[in-house]
Amino acid sequence: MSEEKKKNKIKKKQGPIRTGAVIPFVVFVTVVTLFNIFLLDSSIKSTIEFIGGKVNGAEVNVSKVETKFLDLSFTVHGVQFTNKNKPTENLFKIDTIKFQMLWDGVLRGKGVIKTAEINGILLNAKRKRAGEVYPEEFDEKTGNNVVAQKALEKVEKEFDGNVFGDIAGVLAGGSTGDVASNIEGQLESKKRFEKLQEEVKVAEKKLDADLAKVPSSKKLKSFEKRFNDINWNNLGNILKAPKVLKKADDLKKDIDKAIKAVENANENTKKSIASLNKSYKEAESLISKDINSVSKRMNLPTLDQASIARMIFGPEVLSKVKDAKKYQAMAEKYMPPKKEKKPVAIKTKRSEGRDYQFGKPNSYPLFWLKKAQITSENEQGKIKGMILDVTNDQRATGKLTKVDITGDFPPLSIRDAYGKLTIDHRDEAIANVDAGVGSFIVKDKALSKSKDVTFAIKQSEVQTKIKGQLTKKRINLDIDNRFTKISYETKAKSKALDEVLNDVAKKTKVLTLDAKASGKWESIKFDVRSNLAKAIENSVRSLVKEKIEAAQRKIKADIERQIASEKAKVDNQINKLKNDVNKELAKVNNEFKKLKSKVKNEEKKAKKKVKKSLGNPLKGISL
Amino acid sequence: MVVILKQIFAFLKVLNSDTGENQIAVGVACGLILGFAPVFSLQTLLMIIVLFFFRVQLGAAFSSSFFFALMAWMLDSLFDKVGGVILELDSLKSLFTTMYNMPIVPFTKFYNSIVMGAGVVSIALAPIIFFVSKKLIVKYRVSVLTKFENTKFWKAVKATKFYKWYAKYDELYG
Repeated sequence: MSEEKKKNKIKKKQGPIRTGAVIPFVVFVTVVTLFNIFLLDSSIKSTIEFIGGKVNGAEVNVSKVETKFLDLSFTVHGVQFTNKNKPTENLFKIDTIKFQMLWDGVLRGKGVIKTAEINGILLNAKRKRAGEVYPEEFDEKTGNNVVAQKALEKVEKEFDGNVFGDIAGVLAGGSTGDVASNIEGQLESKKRFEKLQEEVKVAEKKLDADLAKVPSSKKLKSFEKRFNDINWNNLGNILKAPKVLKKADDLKKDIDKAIKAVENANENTKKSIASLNKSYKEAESLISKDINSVSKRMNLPTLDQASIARMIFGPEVLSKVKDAKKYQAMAEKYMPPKKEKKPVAIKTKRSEGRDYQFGKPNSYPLFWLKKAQITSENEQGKIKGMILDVTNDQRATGKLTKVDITGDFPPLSIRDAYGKLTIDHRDEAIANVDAGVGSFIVKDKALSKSKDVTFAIKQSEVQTKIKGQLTKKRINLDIDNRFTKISYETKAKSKALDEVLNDVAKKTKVLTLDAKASGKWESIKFDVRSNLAKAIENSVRSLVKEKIEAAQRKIKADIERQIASEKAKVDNQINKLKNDVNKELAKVNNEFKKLKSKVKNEEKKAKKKVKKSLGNPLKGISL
Repeated sequence: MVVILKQIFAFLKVLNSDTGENQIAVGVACGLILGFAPVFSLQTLLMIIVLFFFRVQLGAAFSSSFFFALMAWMLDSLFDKVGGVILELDSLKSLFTTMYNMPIVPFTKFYNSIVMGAGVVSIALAPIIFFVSKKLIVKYRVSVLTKFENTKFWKAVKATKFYKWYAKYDELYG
């Protein structure tokens, strides 16, 4: 009985659904669902913290993330961006950011955020604990950024200096002391003159070789003899004329060769002399560079406005340019400008067939934040703005990324702030920026600080504007600042300098700083102008001008003494070369001249003789 | 070669087993669609899901898909022509445009002439293949299998200890 039951059980008819396959499917769906319920939120939270940290360069914290699967939205609460310059404070804190995604995009495996709402922004709020600051990642592997970084480092060294510290040094009489030790082995002009001696020797050899090809006096006399030996009277005789003409033709060819050699020697001499003169001038110009370089090494202050402005404000302008480059490189990394790719045929086992296109495919980029609305109003102030079309592929969306934000924070004394940014990465990376702050307070800003001198802005109101364009290859940035209601801090050991500082402070109640950074990243030109520099120049000039000029004269004299022997050697070499070559060429040219006049005379005579029968038989051999 | 032989033996084993002819015939019809479709495509994925969820004979489906895939490779030029004609039909243009801009659907690559041609041909032939294969299976089992089982040779084989051991093994482990 039990056997029969067993058989019946085995032979029992099975339904059309394969239950064995359903169970693994259900398990799979359950695992995915459980992940979404318990782990998705924390995964998104960690991702935001990681990417945010990378972008910010310091720790980013998120309190909570809430996802709603049905309407495909997620809300991020309590986003804190640590201020990397002051890790105990946040750069800003955002209460909530709500993202609304598109099912259409998700089904294509793309992150398309239709709208984002950013609410409740707090600036410079204290953190519960200091945030971690990550090491700088200027990078980004691309050669252009590396080149730009190196160029900016070079500029940083150029901006290095302390105006008032140097002036104090001059007043104390310490800087002009030991010129010799600063000159020793470091003069570029001396090195150039030494090199020039070698160049003169090379030129000399070359010219000697050219002169060797020039016909000697003996040779020229032989030409004369050959000319005289030709019986020109035979030209009238129809039988003898061909022989005469042959001789005349041979002579002409030899004379032509000689002429060419002389012309070459003349030409090469001119070129060599010109090249040596150029090198000589170049070496001489290095003397003034050496004077500047030694002056700098000896901390001799410069009194021109541009240099003063560069020294005082250069580092600040440079730091802004560096920031701009950093963010531009970052934008380039996360929003790479795409290059048009040619379609590549992929070989398959089956033939490829033909692909038909029905309009433009409604494709999405991998990430696209269509619109983010920023609204915040709290005890600190108001922020309002819009971020449009942030994407990793602008070619796919065909839209530019735009940011337009305004803010006003009376309790923080930050008024009328605005920022407009347009990023065009459709082809070449181009970013246009226009930002500014109507007014904000600056405290304890050191303009020059050394052990002998302190010149600082204790407090001031500042209006600032930044406008420009950044591309992968170039920068064009204008930074305008206007400091008003300034309270200066001045201190100097030297009484005279103290008076100067007070005078400068008195004259610059309103301080302007207009800077421009332009050109290729690898060779940016900085133009920094400030009325403070003018005031310093005017006030300091009378005080230290004499001393500086005396020091410069001393440096110049010492340098000239150092290079005198090398320079004299070069002078002698070049003069000797010029004399020798010119003398030799003059001699040859003179003899040629004589030969020419003789030939001309003979030509006239011959012409008269054969005029009737052969016209002009010497035609073609005239010199 | 080993793969081809394996597929042939697996198919013969299915034919000679007690499996219902409907399940095998559906398997062969599904194999046709599977074999004609591109390997990495949405329709292949859907077919595999269908095969796993419904009691379709998997061996028949996969072994037949292997042979139909070979056949499809030879018929590509035909599919290209058929697909081209369909995709160029003005009456279907708006439908294709809608499908082209829909999510997911473009993953089928329906806009390719060979994919469209092979898809349409396979769907059109699937019912025919089903009935034909069903009829052939029945006929095979009645005329070939029964006759073979009644031969003295087979009876002698069945009487051997080795065959009995194999039959037991097959019953227990399949």
